[in-house]
Amino acid sequence: MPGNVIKLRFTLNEKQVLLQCHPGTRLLDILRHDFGLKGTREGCSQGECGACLVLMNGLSVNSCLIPAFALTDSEILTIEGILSLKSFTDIRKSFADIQTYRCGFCSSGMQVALAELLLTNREPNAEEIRRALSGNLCACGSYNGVVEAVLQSSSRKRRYGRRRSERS
Amino acid sequence: MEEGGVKEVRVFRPKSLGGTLRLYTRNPDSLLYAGGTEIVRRVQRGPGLVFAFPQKVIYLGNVQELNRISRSQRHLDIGSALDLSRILKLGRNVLPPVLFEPLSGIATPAVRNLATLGGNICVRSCRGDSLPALSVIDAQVELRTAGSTRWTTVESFLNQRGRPQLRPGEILTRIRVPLEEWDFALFRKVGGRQRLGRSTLSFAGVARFPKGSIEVLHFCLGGLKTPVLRVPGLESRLKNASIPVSTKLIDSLLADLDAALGNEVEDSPEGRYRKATALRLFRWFMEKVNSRSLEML
Amino acid sequence: MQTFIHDISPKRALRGIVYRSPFRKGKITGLRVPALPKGYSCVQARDIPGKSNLSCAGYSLPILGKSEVHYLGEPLILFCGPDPEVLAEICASVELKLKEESPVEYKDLSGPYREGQIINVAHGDVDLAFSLADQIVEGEYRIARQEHFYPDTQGTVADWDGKNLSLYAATQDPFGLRSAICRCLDLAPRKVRVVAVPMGNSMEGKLLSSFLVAAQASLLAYTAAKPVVLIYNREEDLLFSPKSPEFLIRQQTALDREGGAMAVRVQIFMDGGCYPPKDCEALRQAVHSAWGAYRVPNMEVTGRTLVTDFPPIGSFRASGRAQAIFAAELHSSRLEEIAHLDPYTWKKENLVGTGRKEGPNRGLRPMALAVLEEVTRISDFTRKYSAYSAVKKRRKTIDQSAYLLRGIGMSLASQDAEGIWECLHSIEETRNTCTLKLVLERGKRVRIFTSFVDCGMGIHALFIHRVALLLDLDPSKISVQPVDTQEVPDTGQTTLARAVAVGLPLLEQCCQSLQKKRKIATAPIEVRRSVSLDELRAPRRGKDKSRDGGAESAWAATVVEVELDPVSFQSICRSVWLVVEAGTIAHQKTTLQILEGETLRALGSSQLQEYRGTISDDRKRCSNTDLIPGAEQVPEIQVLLLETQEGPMKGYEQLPHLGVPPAYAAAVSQATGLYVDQVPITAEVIQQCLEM
Repeated sequence: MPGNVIKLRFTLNEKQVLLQCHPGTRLLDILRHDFGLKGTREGCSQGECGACLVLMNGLSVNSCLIPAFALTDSEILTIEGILSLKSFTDIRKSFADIQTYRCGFCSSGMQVALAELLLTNREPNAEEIRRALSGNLCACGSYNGVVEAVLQSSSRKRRYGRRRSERS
Repeated sequence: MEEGGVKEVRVFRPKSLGGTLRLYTRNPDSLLYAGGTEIVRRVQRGPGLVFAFPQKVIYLGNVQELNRISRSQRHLDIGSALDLSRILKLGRNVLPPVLFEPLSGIATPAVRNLATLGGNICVRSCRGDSLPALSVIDAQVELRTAGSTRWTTVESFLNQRGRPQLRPGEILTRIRVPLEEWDFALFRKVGGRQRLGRSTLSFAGVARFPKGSIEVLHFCLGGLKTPVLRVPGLESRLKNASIPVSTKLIDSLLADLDAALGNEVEDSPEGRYRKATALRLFRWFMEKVNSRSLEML
Repeated sequence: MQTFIHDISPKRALRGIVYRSPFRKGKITGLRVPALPKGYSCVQARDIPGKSNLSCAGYSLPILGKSEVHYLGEPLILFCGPDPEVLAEICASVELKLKEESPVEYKDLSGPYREGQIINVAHGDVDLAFSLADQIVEGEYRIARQEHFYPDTQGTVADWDGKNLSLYAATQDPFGLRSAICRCLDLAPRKVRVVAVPMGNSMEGKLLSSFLVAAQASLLAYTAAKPVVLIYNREEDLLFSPKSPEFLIRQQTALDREGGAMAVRVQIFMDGGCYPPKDCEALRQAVHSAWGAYRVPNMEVTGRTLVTDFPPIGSFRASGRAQAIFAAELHSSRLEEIAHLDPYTWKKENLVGTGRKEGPNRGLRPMALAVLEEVTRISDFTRKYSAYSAVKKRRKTIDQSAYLLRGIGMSLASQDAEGIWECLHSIEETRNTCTLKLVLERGKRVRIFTSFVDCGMGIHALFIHRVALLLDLDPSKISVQPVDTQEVPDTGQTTLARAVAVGLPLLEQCCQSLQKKRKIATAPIEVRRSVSLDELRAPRRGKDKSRDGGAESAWAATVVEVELDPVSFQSICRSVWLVVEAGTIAHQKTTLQILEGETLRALGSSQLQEYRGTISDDRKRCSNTDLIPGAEQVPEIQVLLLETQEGPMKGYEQLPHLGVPPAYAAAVSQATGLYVDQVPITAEVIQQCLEM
């Protein structure tokens, strides 16, 4: 192990974890190599493509830009957490089918970006969705399909809402 | 292709500004790290490799005084380590619109959750974002050491090459944004991320024109060789000019601006584009001032 | 969640790294490798047991440079070991001594050139036609060298156990890869196993780079006798991976008194990089597409490959054809102006198979006309074109306009099935058949065995859908066997067009055979069908290969509408309409998604994607931000499929790449009133055109 090591304590997918590593270790490498969470992908290593997005304290960040020393006491949610935790059940209903993403490489990053949006806005419009996805690059050009899926899911929620009020 | 070896890195995590300043005085060769979004791109070494930080890093993420906003009737004081997303949450009604625009267009949502206004001012590759807007509204920066405090304008803070002029032990701690009312304010950025052009250039302008003449007009170009290009001579020629400003005066100002831009761009297709666009931006700004003033009459 | 190549890291695996030349060109006079710690290995060119040149799809290049460097970043040495930090130090300690030479590149073709392949095609008497011409129209069109962005990483995991080599590779041609590795390591095919790992969108130079990284990983694993993971990082990929070639195309047209084209003379210069193929498919496609979809009685086309000191070129979607059609379409827009015709009318009158002298309906190409008419209708092209032309005439200068400048452009192109057969011929010298297998198992489950990978093109979904339809089965019970050269037969290199033209017919034959066998046998039942290259080529023997638009061609008419800001000269694409005829479409939703996605990529090529790793940018990091449109840049895209009930499904994935760039350039030209004769079109290009 090169250089010095630090002890890190943070929350990963709602579980407390401890890790020893070099302070300059990238969060992306910690997730993929130390915790085996391969859903967070490496695309550009520059914070531009969004393939490595995770939620840090509820906000999306590029994990390729986060050094280990910035992690202490933070809450990290990866795509694996978002796809499995009960707290994200409702949000998952708005995600597009995986086929919409075509090759699927950018899908994790896009879903994290959408999760951040949907945590505070359950019925976004198309402009808001595109703005949330503005940090995700998709070489297959699947943006429209993803936006459509979220909009349709919102419209389903609105219809359900109307029926409930009709019943009452 | 790697540049070799990883060094030992010691990270300091102060919680107070006083502690930070004392630490920095004792360790002046430390890297000050807040959002770090530009720093890590430069020290990035690739998959599986640690960032090539220098031996000492002072992490500012926990320093309360650098991570808050305070507000008075006349100004906003923004902590230099506060991330852009939190600044933008103030909204267009609180943050001057001429500053809201450039901040909301920086990089991506995820980068804005980390990047700071202090970093945007200090890092040369970010010129063209916040600097022109801060300059036209006469924003100031607070620079502190363990034993001193001073304020200066953003233009004076950077030298001709865009390097921050910091004295030994000084840290940029706050950015003071005046909350003056302007009759007209405008920001525009050309090029850069997903703006479908390679060359970047930005323009910020504000004006006040009560009673049918220009009381004050500031404009600034960003992204040129001089990081914050103000042309006081042109601004003063517009003072007390009646509005709408005549075409003859605008053409004369453009000729002077053309001369002022002489050494500001490189002799290349990108340079020629940026110069021509800078002139077109100024003309467009003046036309907007004219039409706004007509609306107000 | 998909497992991509960088997700695979076997236990005990070593990491690999490539030491690359920091110089652009020169003769190597010294190469000193530092002493390696225990557990670390090194491979140089002299250590390659078999062929030191890699062959792939007609391309041939050294796996490792030996005595000379021909491009910045050329691989020279391979290292592997357990710790990436130590590997980085080792790379930094290599000492390279080089006698530097001036790299060759051609900015203006003032000559002399270093030439590679030359192709000449001609019909009629061009010299005579030019001597009789009433007018001669000339134009020069440039399509820049491009890096096509993809976020997925290129890499391979290789494992040599002393007898057999196993590879996990993100490649669209696992059997081709196996052959290349066998040649490189001098191994028999039965000793090499390739498992194809999901990859991002195919082509874009990935075919060649997948072979190169696999060869490098295999050499390391062979030397170290341990599994090796070799993944190119983003800088390596952006700066040094294969690029789509730069083209400069000169068009000359001889016109008669009525403005009709009597003859066309085309000179095509293709920058083939430092290792251009001897027989380059891209150049061949360009030459045969030089006048696009239009007729002319006399034509002479010369195509040349120029050898320069840029990274090698690779296989890209519609490579060569897209560039030639760009030039042909833009040149035809000049002829439209001279003839005082709008683009729709000119195209209709000049389409191959029409002839004013021959009578208006004789030999019409119905599908080409149908797409042209439909796109004109749905985009309201005629009205908008006239309106924007009128505004353009009244305008004095573009940089003082108070309003956004608007323009609309149209193009017509076909994805020629001929190309598939030519491609087969050029790349599959040693592979004579394409085979596909189906197995019907108990419980009415079917497994499809093919070497076609999916690569985001919906190929596997297409096959599953077809089998479900033909055998009347539940699609959830049909699966495609993971692509492993030990398990599946060789169906050839993957492209959507080939999956449609070769894979689907084989699949249908297998299904027919299964239906028959089901009646007399019980599961499991296996059927296998093959087709030879000769059988595929037979229907095409004797056809005039210089003509476009055979019955197997898919057609697309494209309209692009743009808005240009008169202050910044940045053009925004407002809308794209694409009308496609591609036979009987099996899976409409997937087809529309793919066409929409490829349209967006084609827009990126038109607006953004120039490769800038030039002499002055030696180590410059390519920013990703100017390589691909993002979610906020997506215009309105309307794709309409004209379905015919006759004829099989045709390949269509190239159509947006053929149609969008010229339509975009034509729209920008109308909006600005300038002749914008190159892509990508950036604001700086418009400024240059204004200054000319």
